[in-house]
Amino acid sequence: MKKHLRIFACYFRLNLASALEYRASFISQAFGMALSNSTFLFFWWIAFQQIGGAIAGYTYKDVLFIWAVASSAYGLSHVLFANAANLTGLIVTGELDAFLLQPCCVLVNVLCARTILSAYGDLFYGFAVMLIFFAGEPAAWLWFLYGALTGGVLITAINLAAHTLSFYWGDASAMGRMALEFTINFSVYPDKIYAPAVRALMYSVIPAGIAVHVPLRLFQAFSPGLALAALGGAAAYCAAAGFFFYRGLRRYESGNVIVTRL
Amino acid sequence: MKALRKYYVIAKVSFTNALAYRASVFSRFGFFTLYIYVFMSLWRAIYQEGAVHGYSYAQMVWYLIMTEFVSFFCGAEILQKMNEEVKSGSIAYLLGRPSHYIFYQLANSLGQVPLNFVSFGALATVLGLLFVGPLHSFTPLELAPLLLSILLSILLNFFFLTLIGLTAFVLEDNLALYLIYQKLSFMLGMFLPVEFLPAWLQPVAKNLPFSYIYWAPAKIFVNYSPALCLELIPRQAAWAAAAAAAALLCYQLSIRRLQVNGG
Repeated sequence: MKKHLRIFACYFRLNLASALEYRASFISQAFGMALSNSTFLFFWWIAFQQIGGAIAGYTYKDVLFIWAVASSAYGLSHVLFANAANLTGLIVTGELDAFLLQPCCVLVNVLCARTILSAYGDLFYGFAVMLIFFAGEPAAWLWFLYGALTGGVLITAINLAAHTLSFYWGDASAMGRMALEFTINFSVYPDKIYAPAVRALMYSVIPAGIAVHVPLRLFQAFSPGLALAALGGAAAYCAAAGFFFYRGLRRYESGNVIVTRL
Repeated sequence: MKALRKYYVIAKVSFTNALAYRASVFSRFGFFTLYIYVFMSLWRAIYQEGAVHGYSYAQMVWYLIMTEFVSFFCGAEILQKMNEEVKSGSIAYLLGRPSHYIFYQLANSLGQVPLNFVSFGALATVLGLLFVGPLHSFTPLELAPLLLSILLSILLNFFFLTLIGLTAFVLEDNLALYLIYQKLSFMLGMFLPVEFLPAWLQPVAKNLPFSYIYWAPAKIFVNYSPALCLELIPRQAAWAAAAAAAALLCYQLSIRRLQVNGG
């Protein structure tokens, strides 16, 4: 475990250093993404202005909360584990060989090897929304941090599970993009707007509900049972995604591509 | 005439390519359906809370279907392509050809339109009929102005993306510019009709080009009247012409900065 944490910390340091090497690009991408996210608050403000009151049981402040959690969770996942969304490319081109040869846990090594600059904007955006709208509410902060952390890990697991299909089907990049798009769309709108079958999907196969909507429920009315069930569900999903990856890895056929990792 | 013919050939090659790789179009069907489903669900929830000024629920869903339909034509592939060509230096190969770089890209983009139009048009119609039924106000009379409005939207978006793409000559990264442009056009027409904006913002939105990419064709589609077409289509044409002129001018200025190293 200690070794894994050391690799994780080392990758984070190197990825950050490489991001800062192209400072202008880093700042413009992160700022652009944060600005881009903020336009959706404008959309919601207009939608609430049209009707007043609540939409599918969510007030404007509830929507701000799920946006903060979803944005930071997505940011965290793509700052720390961006390579999960790149797994299909590694499998299809045979570049996974380079990771298999190194003397450390394959999954940790693969997941942490890449970052996305604009994801820093998503990560900070969630904190900015919390600072502006929930500054004096410690309970909101507690459940925001809980949601951002569990959501970050869950989004990585969803990416991992979807791209792992490439071991079985060949190129599953479209499936991976689709899974991520579902996750985002299920996260940033009130869950009750969806039909019951879709809501069932949100709390099982693509557990965006556990990542974003459960923290809101816990913030509104704390329930230890719900908190534990959500944590248990998230842990089980992550374990299943890891297990699925290692099962798929057995089917991996090594390529003859020569890769240099700088 | 001879000059037009070569761009026609470029568009034809692009169309043949699109047909050969048609699977990529069908893989985007899932995304299109997802977005329509999400917005349909959201607006259904909003309409359940109370009436929304000026649009019935069916009109609103058809409006969103039309904006998504236009957005799936107006992909950002051209921007990504230009960024790669400028940064990798492969633009040098295109500059050596007997065609203008911008018009080459335009012909290439327009070549993709017929397949997108037919495939996403069919899907959009099926989804609309399935979710909210027919749009009763629609008449075949509006087909010609609607198609013209959609074509102008494609051109306007193309020249804006070209302008952003040309910044690759001077900027290390132009993603932020694209995101700002994308969200302005989303908020001033794609996700919300301009009529839903606060009263003070509506005249501003109507005097900016971003609304004419999505709002104009969708508004003509759900709320057709000859007077509306006469109001919106000339404005779309004027903005498309202005964006084209700006793109051509920027291209002339940018190309002087190009440095290509052989290898």
